[in-house]
Amino acid sequence: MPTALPPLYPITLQHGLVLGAALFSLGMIGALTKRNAIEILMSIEVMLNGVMVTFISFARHAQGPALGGQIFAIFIMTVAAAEAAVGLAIVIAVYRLRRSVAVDTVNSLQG
Amino acid sequence: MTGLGCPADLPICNPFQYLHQLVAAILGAILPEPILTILVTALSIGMVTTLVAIIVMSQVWAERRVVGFMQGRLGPNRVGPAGLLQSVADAVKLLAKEIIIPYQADRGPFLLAPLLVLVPSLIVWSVIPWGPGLSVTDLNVGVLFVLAMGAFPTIGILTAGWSSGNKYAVLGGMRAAAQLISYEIPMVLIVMVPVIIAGSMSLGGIVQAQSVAWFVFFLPVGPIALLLFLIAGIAEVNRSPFDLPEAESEIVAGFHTEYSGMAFALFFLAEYANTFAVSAMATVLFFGGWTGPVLPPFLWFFIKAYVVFLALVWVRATLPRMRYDQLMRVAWKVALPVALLTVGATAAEVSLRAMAA
Amino acid sequence: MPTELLVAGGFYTFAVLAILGSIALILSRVIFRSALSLTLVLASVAGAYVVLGADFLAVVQILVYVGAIMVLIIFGIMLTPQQVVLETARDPGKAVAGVAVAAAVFVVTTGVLLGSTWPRSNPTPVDMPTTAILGEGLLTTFGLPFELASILLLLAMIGAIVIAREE
Repeated sequence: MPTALPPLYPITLQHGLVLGAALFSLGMIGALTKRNAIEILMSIEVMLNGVMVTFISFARHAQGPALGGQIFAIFIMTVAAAEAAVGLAIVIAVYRLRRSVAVDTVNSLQG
Repeated sequence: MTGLGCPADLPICNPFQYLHQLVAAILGAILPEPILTILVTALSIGMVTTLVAIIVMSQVWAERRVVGFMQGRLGPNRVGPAGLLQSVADAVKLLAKEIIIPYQADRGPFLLAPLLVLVPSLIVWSVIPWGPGLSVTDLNVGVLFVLAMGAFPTIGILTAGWSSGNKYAVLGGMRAAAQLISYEIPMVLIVMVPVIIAGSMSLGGIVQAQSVAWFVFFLPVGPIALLLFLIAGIAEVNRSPFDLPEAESEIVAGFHTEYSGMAFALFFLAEYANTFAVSAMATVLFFGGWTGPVLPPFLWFFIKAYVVFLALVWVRATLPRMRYDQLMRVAWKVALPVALLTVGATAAEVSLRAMAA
Repeated sequence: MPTELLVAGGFYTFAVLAILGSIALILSRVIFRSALSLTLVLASVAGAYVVLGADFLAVVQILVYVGAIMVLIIFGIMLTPQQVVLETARDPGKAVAGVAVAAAVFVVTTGVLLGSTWPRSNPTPVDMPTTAILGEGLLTTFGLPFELASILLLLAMIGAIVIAREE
């Protein structure tokens, strides 16, 4: 595929997008390979931050109406906060029942 | 605009500004452009940090003397004339002590935690205006920046508690963190009151908007907002009467139980710098910052901030420590609804005044 | 010219810090250190926002993400004490598969991003302060999502309290 690497500076759209993709993939490694539920939540936060970086660099370089990229980033932050709260509540409830938060031990509905 | 009286271009009225321009003019003849800006900014950062360090040393002495007089005894009066070198003696003692790292402690986070608490407390000082145009930088989201830097030390306190490997420290850390995040919400809401009245989030802009009348006289919401700001501010810096997380008689010193020597000195420094930052923010937001009739602006700012600090010391000497559940009840059931109502009332009043004008 | 260099220097510093932080998050075996690495990632991303012209959002990122969500995560870690060092009793094949999938996603995504032309990309800077523009947008153009977000937060608060409450 034709890849045109952007110059080192000035900072263009592509720089921000590559940073967002890198954070997203690194978070994905964590979300796929970790055992502890809280570590998976932390990796999901990294993925969400990668997406926010992408939206904000779009808002900077390809300006839409009313800085829509930044407003969307605000909504992502809101949803991330709500998800972290509910996720941690569930983790604490599971820990209370089973004394463990490893995700492969929570499988009593399996099979 | 310096209020009435002292014009800003007279060197004696604004010595820091004069010094800044002098240094910039001298260096500007030698150095090229980007290095000049960086060097001058670094110099102003150094000046502000030194000033804060000197103020903290005076605070330690002032607090102990004033609390002593209020309790019917003299404070420290041995070291130097009237005990003025007491802070120096404290600093030398803390520097000479060994930093003991307990066996159970996790070394990295244990040594990182004091930095996580101290660095935001010092960064806050870069946006606070000491005079007209006299801050290291005047961010256009200055107020929010101060709040964000006040929220950062919570992580440091939790890290200090957890990495000490000591049950009292963990408990103290969790209680301190719960108190800090509970009082953050009324603090953020109340800080919006001066922002709504001034129409700007930059601290320089808020001070300029008070050149006619101070915001504490913006009846009826001004005094309520000031009172709530001071309550939330005292709770945010873990100061008496909200200092249960570090109470000496209850929980052995809470999250900084295991810290000794320089590491403890950093927590100590951070607490006093934070207290003065709360007093400085109260003067900037409610008492008009550096505006005032005859004296030079920076002297007005310093006097007002120190008077607010002495009021906080008075509160410490007078009120007993609040129990933890009373503290949390005040945050969620009293401070938060009153803060919401105050913000609503402020917005209504500002639009009514704009319509009537 | 110097401004561009300064902006690029700032961007690269924060980008490298964020990536190093996420690598430390993945590789760390003590969960508290992963939490501290996540704090580093969030703070560096906030710095990157300043470079990308989002001043209000950078400060809100520190206030909300570092000041509240990280505190929540650290509370969760403290309330669920496991053995502090996680045992590696999982098959290494799963780890390799995970890394391979993530690497494939990264390669495909960057290929597409760098290879396509972006017609509306222009380098004029965003006019700061962005607070007023964001406020207007949130209340006029994006008013419905704003209200739905507040309902969502209310539901999340109630739900979290109900789930985590001790009976």
